[in-house]
Amino acid sequence: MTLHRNVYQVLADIVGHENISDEPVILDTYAFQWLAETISGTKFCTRPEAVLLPGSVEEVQAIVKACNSNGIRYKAFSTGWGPWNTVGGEGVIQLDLRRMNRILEIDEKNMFAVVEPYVIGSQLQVEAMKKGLNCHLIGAGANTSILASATSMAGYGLSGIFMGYSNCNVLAVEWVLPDGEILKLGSLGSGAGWFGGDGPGPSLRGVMRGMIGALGGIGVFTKCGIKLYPWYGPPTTPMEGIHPLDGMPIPESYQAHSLTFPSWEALADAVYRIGEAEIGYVMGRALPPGLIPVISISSAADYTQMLQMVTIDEFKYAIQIILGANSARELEYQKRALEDILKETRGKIIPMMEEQSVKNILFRHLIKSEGISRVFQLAGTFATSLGAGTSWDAAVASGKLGEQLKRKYIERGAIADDGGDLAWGGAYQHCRFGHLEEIIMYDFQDPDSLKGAEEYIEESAQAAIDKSLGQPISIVRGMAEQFGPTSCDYHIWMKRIKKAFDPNIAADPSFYVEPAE
Amino acid sequence: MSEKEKLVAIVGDANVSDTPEALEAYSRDESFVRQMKPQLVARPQNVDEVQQIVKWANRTGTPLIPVSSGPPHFRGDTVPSLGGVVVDLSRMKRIIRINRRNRVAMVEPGVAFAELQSELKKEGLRLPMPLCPRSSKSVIGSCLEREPTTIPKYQWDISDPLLCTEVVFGTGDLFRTGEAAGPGSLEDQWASGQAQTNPMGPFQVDFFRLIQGAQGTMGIITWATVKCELLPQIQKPFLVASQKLEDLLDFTYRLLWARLGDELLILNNFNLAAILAKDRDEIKALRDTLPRWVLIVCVAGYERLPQERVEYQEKDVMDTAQRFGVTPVIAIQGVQGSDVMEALSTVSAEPYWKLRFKGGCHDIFFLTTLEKTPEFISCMYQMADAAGHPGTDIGIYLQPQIQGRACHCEFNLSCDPGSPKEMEKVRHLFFNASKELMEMGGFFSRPYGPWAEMAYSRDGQSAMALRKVKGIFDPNNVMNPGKLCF
Repeated sequence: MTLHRNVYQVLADIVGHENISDEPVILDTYAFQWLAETISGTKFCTRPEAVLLPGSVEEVQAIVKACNSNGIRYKAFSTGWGPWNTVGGEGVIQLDLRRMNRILEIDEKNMFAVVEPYVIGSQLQVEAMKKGLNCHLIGAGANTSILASATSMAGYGLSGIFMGYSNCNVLAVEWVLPDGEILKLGSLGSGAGWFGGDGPGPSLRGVMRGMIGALGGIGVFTKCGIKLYPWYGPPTTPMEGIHPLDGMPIPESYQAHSLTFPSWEALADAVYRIGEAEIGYVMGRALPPGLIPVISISSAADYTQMLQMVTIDEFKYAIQIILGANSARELEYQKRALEDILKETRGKIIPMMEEQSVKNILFRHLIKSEGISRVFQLAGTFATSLGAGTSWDAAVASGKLGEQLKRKYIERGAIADDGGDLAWGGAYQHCRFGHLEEIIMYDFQDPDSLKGAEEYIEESAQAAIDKSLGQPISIVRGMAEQFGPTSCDYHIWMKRIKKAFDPNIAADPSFYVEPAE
Repeated sequence: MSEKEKLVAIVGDANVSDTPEALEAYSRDESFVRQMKPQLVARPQNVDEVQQIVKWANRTGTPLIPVSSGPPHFRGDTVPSLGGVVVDLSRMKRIIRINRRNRVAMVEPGVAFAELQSELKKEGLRLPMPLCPRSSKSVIGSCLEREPTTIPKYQWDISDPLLCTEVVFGTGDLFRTGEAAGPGSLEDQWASGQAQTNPMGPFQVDFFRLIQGAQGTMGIITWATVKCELLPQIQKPFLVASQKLEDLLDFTYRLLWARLGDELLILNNFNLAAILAKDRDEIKALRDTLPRWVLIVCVAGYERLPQERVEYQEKDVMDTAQRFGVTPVIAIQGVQGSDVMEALSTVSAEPYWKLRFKGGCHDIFFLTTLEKTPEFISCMYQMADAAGHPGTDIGIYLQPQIQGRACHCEFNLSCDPGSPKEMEKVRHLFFNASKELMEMGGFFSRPYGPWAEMAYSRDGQSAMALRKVKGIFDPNNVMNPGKLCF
């Protein structure tokens, strides 16, 4: 399907000819996506009919109304990576929100910011730190959109022990509904500012997103208030060393350690106790054994050699933690509490990770949420599985299960041999819930590897159902149909929501649901 | 079979009432909402009965008004707008599960705070509470109303401490929200280590947010899990007094930033007196001796190194206070911080503290940010003065919420229900002040009674969106019709 020239002209009149394109070479840059091969068998998803770069909520609204009038669909994209960010089928235009990239406000006293869709984590973090504040960065990295994580996607990050989860950090929101009407969530709708996203009455945040977001299926979010959190360090954070082994000198108010335990059970106990003690600024399995070698390797052979060292060594049941405190007294308390917990759980600090330059690297890695790019290095790409947001015990059970399920795929050579344990995640809001997602690395250019990866993802999803381990993080098309019947038929309610809010099915439903009949 | 007989068939003869006394009791509350009697009162005992009642209501087009807390009610949300059947959930009183490891409790809607707190205490846990709730207040009722609690550091999301729920939607369909939805039964989930601690979802919709704040218009909750916290081993409360509210605000902001203290709230002299004193005379006497404003901050130690935790927090609070020119003390004018904490840690003694002064009370509350509260307070005093309502009798409660991102601002207007003249005066003040405060930017996020029309007239898009939601979960409008924008 090619966009009718009259429609193209209507859209061009909204954003200006310099901000619209249907050149194939441009369009394919949007279709080229991580995990595209799991949808199409190639690295390309469906090519959008056109890409538009709106610069304001008014332009977004006009585009959405034009889509409704002309029977075409749209899909918004900020920093997105993954097929759920690009169009899911024929007849869909892409809205690239990169021109809407301003931090509109940082309210220092009330600890929140107001951002547009293309404000990335590192951009907000740098500005927030100047004011003694910080922002929750997700595992996907500091290069991802703060707004997208808060309104539309998942929101796990290892700072979650202190800074929660993206869903819980969003305040008021400016939202272009699927039919083009503008809804201002919470206090914003009543003209009271950006401090709250709920009410009057029931919270429409419930329609906006769930544990994961609507993935573009329920409209476009153009601004949001986002919670900020204390930063106890200096206003600017100098770097030292050469990437990827560059580090950040650790401010006096922080400490960084890698901790190891004798078993999964001991690790689970320790994390619960860390949560109860209300210590920790960043905490989680940032460096599961399968991930450690990729930090510094230059070849697959190096990886295998190094993996053998770390798997049999202390990293098997390890977590990384940053302690951060408002005062020297508090930091001392946190250190003592951590020492106590280590004694009780037979844990210890990993000596080789205590060298100052290593700790500086770890500190940067955790504060800046870096590392995601490394999982592309070994085999070409990666996918993830399991990882429900649930109790920490159930999260640990997911980690163990993932390792077990991966074995046969490793043995048959379908996915990279990472030792089996690449369970990444942490515990959030002082361990009120947590997650461990099992990562696999595979070669997307090798049909056998791709097939193995797909089979693993399918098997792990079914295992989450069979073992009642919660709702997995892995996003695949048809997820609602698979998990709906196992989870109170939630998909049927979603279909009704889609029908009520998007009568013309203008917002691309590919990674949400088709509306109810 | 009459409709009453059909209800009797569901819940039993003893649990359906249509006596004039019973209907009268549910026909009004302490608010200015118009009186209306229900036709019947039904008291189900379990989810099956609730589901049957909702299905019956859909067949017959009968409004249902869910009530979980006992009287007195204050906000009009449990007064029928169009008649119908009151669904009194007070028989559903089970504490289904307390899980110490995950700090979570699962309760039915008839469980009141005192009942749950005593069971939690045995496990070394507590539930953050609203300010001295009345003894009959349902835990779930409070959570569903997004009632602020006195410990802002534990409020990561305004929805806290509510977690997962089981709900019978207005359609009669049974649903579980959050991770409780599945996969698996509750027993299966418990066996895998889950504890219904994640309220979000399932998947791409936060269903629980559509039920919370709905005043019973979307469905009826039959159980919920709530986020509990460790019971402190040591508590050390401090009081910080000031004649001028502005002098406390920067200090309060700093405490919130540093996460210092558990309980953290500001009361004016009237409200501090009202929660501590036994009767009107005592309130007056105490009010007149207290400074105009008191910030309450309590540092606590839990199971791990409790003494050390209290010590560092106390020193940090004192250092911070010095920086902001205020003085935390353990007692003010004979009021001990420990007495205040005792009041904050339990449900209100009888009579309910808001009724102690004159027997009646009307609350105006909304959300704003802390630094803006002096403007609202100034406006309230001006309007009270103009209305001839003594400013000294206005209770004020400021509660930082969402870890300091917002502030609940509450005015309590005491009045004598036996004095028609005074009631009329307070009625006018209530309406006029509500309008004015809303105009000034007060966010009436929980629009009870007459506030609903005011709030939705300012935010028509939200009203339209909510009506779409209502059409999905309660298409026949049987759930508490006439409330909010429905």
